[in-house]
Amino acid sequence: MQWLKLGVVDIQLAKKIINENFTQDRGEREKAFSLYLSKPYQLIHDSPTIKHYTEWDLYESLNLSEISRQEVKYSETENTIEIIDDTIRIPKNNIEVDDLLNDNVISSDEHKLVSLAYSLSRRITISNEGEYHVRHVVNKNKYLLPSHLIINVPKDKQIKVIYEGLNLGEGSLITPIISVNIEDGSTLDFQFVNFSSNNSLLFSYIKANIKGTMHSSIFVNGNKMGHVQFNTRLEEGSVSEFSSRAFGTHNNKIDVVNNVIHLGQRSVSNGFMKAISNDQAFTVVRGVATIDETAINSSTSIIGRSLVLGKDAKAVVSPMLEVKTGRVVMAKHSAAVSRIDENQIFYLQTRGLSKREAEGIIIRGFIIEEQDPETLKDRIEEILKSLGY
Amino acid sequence: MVTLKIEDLHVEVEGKEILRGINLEVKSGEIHALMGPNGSGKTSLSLALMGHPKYKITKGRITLDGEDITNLEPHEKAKRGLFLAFQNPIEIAGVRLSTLLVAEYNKVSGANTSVMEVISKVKNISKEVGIADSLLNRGVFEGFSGGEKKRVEILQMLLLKPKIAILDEPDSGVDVDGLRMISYFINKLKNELNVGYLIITHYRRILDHISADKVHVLYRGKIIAEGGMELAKLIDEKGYEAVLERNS
Amino acid sequence: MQEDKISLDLHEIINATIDAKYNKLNQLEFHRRIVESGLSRSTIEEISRIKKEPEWMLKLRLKGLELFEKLPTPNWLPDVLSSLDISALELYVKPGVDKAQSWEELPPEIRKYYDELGIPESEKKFLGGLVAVLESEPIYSNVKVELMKKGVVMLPIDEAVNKYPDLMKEYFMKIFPASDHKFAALHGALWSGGVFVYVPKNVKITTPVEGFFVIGSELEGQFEHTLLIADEGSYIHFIEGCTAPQLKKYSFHDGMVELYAKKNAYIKFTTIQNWSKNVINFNNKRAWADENSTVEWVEGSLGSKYSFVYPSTILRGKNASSTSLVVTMTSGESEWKDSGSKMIHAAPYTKSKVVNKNIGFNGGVNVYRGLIKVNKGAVGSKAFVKCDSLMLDDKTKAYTYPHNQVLEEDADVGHEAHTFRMNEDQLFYLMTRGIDEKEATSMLVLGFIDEIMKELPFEYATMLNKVIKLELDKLGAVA
Repeated sequence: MQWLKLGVVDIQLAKKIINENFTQDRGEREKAFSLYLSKPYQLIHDSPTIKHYTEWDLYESLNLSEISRQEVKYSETENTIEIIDDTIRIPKNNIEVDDLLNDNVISSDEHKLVSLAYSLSRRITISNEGEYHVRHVVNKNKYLLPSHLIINVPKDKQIKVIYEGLNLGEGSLITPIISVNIEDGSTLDFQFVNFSSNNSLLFSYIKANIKGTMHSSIFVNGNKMGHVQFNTRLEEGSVSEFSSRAFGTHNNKIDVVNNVIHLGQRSVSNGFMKAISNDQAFTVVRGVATIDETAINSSTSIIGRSLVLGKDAKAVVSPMLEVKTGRVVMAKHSAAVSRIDENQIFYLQTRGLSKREAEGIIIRGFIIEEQDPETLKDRIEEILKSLGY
Repeated sequence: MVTLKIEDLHVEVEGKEILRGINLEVKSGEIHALMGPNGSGKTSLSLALMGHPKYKITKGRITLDGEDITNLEPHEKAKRGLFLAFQNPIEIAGVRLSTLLVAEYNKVSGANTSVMEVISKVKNISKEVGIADSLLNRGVFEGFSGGEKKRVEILQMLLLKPKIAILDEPDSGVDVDGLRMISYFINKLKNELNVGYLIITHYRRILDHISADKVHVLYRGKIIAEGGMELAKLIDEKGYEAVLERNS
Repeated sequence: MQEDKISLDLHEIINATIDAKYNKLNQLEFHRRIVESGLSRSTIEEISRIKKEPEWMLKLRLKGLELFEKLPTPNWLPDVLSSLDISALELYVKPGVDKAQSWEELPPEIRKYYDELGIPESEKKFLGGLVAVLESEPIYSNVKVELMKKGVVMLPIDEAVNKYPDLMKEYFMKIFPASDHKFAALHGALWSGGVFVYVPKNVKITTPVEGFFVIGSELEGQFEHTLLIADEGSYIHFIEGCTAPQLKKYSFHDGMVELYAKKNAYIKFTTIQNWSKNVINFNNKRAWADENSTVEWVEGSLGSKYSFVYPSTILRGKNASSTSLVVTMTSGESEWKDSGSKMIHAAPYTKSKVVNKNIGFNGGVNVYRGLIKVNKGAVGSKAFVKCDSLMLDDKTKAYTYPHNQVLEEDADVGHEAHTFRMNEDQLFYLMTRGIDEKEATSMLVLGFIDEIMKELPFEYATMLNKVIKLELDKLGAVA
């Protein structure tokens, strides 16, 4: 039986929500929604043999029948934002929520699913110093829960944001759109974690304009199809350090794209892209690091590493580099795909660990990072234990 | 009293036979030296004894304390008291050294000692062995110097207290102090716990500090000469050719 | 034997191809434009008739034409090509000379030409046989007695069509099918000239074998085809070295090399390309490697304005291995060198190694596009790619686009890409030892590509050495 590809959401329902649910920018929303309807998923610019890594068809055939109403409720918990099914719970102070569409960093036409998310979400803005917790949770089935978060870090300030996405619905789609602006002398500590059931989908588009410093960590597990795109634009003297991890189990398909553009002089990017493919999962870690003509004396170093654990698991690593000026300090990319090194397993076995125990210790060392929040470490432990490690 | 007995051992790696009938016995409290020119198969023997997957035992057997351990998994051999100090141990980035030490202590001893207790044991030993505490927080062998790697191997030997220890060139890449320290501990474990040793050495530096009960010379996969310390002296003065001539 | 010249407005054909990018031109429109520029069924039939080809070859050409119209323009074709100015190029111009049997028979201008390249020397010392392609037509073939005795077949490919139809039918454009991409299809329709080599079982040819290509006339498109089959247990090192005189208008080259290393065979295929800077070079290269065989590609792409070469190997048999060593150099504004390798691991215990070294200055662009694919079932496979770009000044650019797709758990794939400037400390050190900056720079550049230089026969290494030094003279010169 052929999937009926009617689109990500029921069109009539979406139009109804746009009309009834929002008090501002209705015209903009309608424009964004038409853009979603008319735009293709992507143009291929790269090698002739490679098409897309993300199966956009899986989004097209969702035909979601329910869309979040995003009813705003005020809570007492400071600095916590909860976007759970039909409700957005935010504190009265410090965080803004409105129905406007405008975003200085990510424009509607950057991706088909960004226009879709914009047309159907309220806008939440964080612009004061502090540590914030966002929980974006879907419990319902065949449900669309988009979000639009803006993080503005003003000059010489520090902000930390932990964004936890949880998609437990069957056949549901969660679309966190996060735009970041970091001014001079400021730092953003950004952690993005997403756990989804094996039957749900994720599309996240995160973009940052950086004048100061950004430390980011992205972790994705689960998903029938998960696509995370993390783009950073680096101005003069800025720094981006990132680590992105895709942990695929069962039939998961996860595609994490890390793009870095160096626009300003002496900008620095340092990244790790890691993936584990277990069972029949398919993980892709890729991205383009570009050093523009104007970004003289900049440097970029990105290391990609994929561990393939399942007999039927698959992995793709594609670290791309575009250096447009000869005045570069350093530009390097590396990527490796393999099983766990048998010499490492042997060494640990000679120290009394069984093969499984040895693999477990190595996998943990690979996938868990020091600064991970405890909740993430616990979650990873759960998954590893369930896999027999 | 425990005996590691190697009987008529034939080993193949990548389709090529590299050990062609090795017979050797190491008893508790004995120190055996295994010498031989490069490529003779010394390291291969150590790896085959521990059960490295690339080394296929095609004939013969290995027994430890009467039990046939020829086909056991490496970790099972470790648990039965067989220890190998690697010549050039592999880096395992991401796994903290302290994590490994705690895990292996409990695995091999079968105990369930708390992390804190093990770490405190480790710290005592590392002081004596000359390893800075900071190394404990690094990835296993990540960026370690040759000398540091050797000391960590000895630390593990002291932590795990094996019955029979195979040391692959413990003297290479180590400075004078390091050599003295390693020799000290080899003798200490022999005297206090009756540990038996098979020490692989190329240039016999270590034999200046340790007296071997027996010296075996390996050449092209076969033991071609056996003797006492005088054999080591002969090699030192006249090189391996002297032994080959004598035994050809 | 006089033939009609067939006129093709390649300029228009290429432009139509570029316009068709992103499906912006529908098929009907595309068809109309290329027919108007002279590329039609009747043109193909004419070519085939002149060459006296059998029915099956005509069918193949027509299929090529059909595919050229149907296939989309590769999206990776850089937009720079849209500013091309290829004027009408003449296809298949047969010079007024018949095939010569010996050196002295060649017309004096052509001989002088070859003299400058030093061919007679090479002929004496190194070669086993030579097939020269001048203006799309082999005019000089001289198969030495020794090779004939060994049963080695080496002859102009046009002749092979009729003399070895079975081999040709089995392999010609099967290794690199016309359906692969638009320019492969164009080649399939218009191919002319080239060499066919067959090395019998267990025959080992220890001296390198050369073929030369020359673009002689100004308006010339070249579609030469090399098919080399090394039967079981054989050994051959084939060298393809090309030069071209300074031309006023652009030349377009769409050649193809197909290699087949059968069980236990060894093929080393070396290409040094130093065409003048108004040539657009497409070279479609692919090899099949059967069980235990080895295919080594060595590629030096120094000349031409635009170059698109991706030596690739399909590792079809157990234990097969392949290496690809590529050096590219861009030394001028708007020069674009696109290179890379595709290694497909389709059998267990196969190995591949790709080393791509790019040197750029004066605003040139070097691009690496590569694919390592390990299919499910190709257990124990190992692949390694190293892609380094050396930028000698501020204006140059380097892009790397690698794709590593691993569909088999028991496989090991690694990739490293570095882009860097000349190391100032090293430069300084050499200069403190009395070496001037220019000399020091060329020492470091040659050191950078040493891995690849080592694979070239002495004569080629020397020539490459000289050429690079000459090119480096341009470094720092005002454009």
